[in-house]
Amino acid sequence: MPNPEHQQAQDLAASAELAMARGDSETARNLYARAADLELEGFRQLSRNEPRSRGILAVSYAALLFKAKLYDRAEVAICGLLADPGIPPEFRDELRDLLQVTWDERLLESERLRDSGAELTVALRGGTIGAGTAPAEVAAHYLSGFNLLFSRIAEHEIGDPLRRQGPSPPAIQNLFHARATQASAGSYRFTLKILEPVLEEGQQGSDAHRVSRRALEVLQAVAHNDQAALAEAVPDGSYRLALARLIRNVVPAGDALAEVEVRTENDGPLEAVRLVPEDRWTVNETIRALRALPEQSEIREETIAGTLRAVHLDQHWIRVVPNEGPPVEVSTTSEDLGDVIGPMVNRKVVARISRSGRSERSRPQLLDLELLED
Amino acid sequence: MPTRKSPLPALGSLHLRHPGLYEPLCRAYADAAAICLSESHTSPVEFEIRREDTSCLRELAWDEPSRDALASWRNSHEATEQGATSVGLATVEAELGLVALSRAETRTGADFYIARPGQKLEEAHRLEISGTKAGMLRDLHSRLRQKVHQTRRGLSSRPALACVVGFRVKMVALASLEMEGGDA
Repeated sequence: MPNPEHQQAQDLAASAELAMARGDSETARNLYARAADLELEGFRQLSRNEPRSRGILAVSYAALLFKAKLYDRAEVAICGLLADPGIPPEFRDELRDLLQVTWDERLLESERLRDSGAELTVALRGGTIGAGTAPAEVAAHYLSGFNLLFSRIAEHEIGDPLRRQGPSPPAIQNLFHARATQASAGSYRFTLKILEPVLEEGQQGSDAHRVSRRALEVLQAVAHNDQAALAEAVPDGSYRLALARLIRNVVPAGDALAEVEVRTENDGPLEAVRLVPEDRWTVNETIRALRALPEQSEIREETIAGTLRAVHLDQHWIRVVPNEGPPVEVSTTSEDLGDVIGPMVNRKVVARISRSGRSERSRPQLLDLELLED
Repeated sequence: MPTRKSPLPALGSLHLRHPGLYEPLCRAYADAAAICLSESHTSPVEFEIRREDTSCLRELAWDEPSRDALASWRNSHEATEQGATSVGLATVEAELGLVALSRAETRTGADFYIARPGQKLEEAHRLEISGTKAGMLRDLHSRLRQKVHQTRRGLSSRPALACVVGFRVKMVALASLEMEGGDA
């Protein structure tokens, strides 16, 4: 350890982590704040001949201020540290990242003073995302993707059976009011404000806060392939599969995006759910587990990478144009939903299909369809 | 056939040799590991440790998780990640003779800086650990590749190690950016 102050800061930060795990965020914040003060003392005692140790403690100090939600102090501290030429480049990169999320948090906090309603905030970060800007197609894809996902979750909470065709009912469409929020460094954010759902007489009360909380539970369970938590949140197996596929559509896939962060109105940065490209395989695991197929010796699986060019779910087929070779028409089932497949039209996809061993000419069956780009 | 080596150190007492692991946190992480392990196995089990082209077997024992521990680790994802930290630190101690010297605070949690006992922070390596309860070996390898890629991209000029713990498949995969020239 470089000095006793750093050791004490570490112990306090560890205690804060345990307090967070218990759900005691107020105690955690106070402990992080005390840890930050001690980390600063420790940093000041280091010699300039220890550049790596200075970098490590500088990042630690900034991260502890961020975790304590002391965003003004974090901003000043990080700017001061970035002005110090003795901080090695790799730590400067980490400090810049922390400065970006600090600005993001400050703006979010100031917005909440004007709005106390239930909402889900989605932040897109990294890749092609700039300061409050994003390529139009990326922004549109994620705005639409989350709207479809949260609509499905609201339908589930209201007690509607799984919708196989058509758009969500007007009562649900009127539930969400989406808007892009203020510009912030390094991220593009939008919020989906949830209004009170319209309930039929005799239905269980399903308030907007419950919908936002459930959305986060489902995202977390699918992203981590936690089948037990997912089954608890969504008992209906068909709904679970539909939601897992909708979530996969909003997990970053290409280079356009590095991270998608989702949180409810009550969540701080430590409680948010983050989707990163490496979550793709976990979500695929969830989907595979939900769509376990019986073993059939005459069925063989293939994958086709290409562009989805046509969809006709009423007639149960889609058309994929492979990267090489002629178009392939693939049969779909009632499990293949329009709001899952629709956003993939004219985009790069990979289709997992099965062919019957009897005939090469019969139309293959779609097992799964995955988007390959943001 | 992998070589059989001495057991992994007891998870609940890692703090005795790892100065960067605060005792209450060490015990909480050991509880999280016990919860993850107990879901699929009975103590003790043999874990396969894979490093580059070599592998070995090491026994891992744990105490049955108490009711309090089960209650405090209701979030399965957090239990997996923190339990993996416990098993990961035990593995780098056994395999590389390195101990946790300091936490590396991040925006959402903490990684660790590890070094030989007595070394300074100035000489430490950054260790990133993650865990999975997935049941397939290819998932573990895929996760390690992702972890190494992430570590290399984020910390380009710093010596770093990535470790992934597979609780169900009883395996720990360890990759060093220095040793592998930046690839897993």
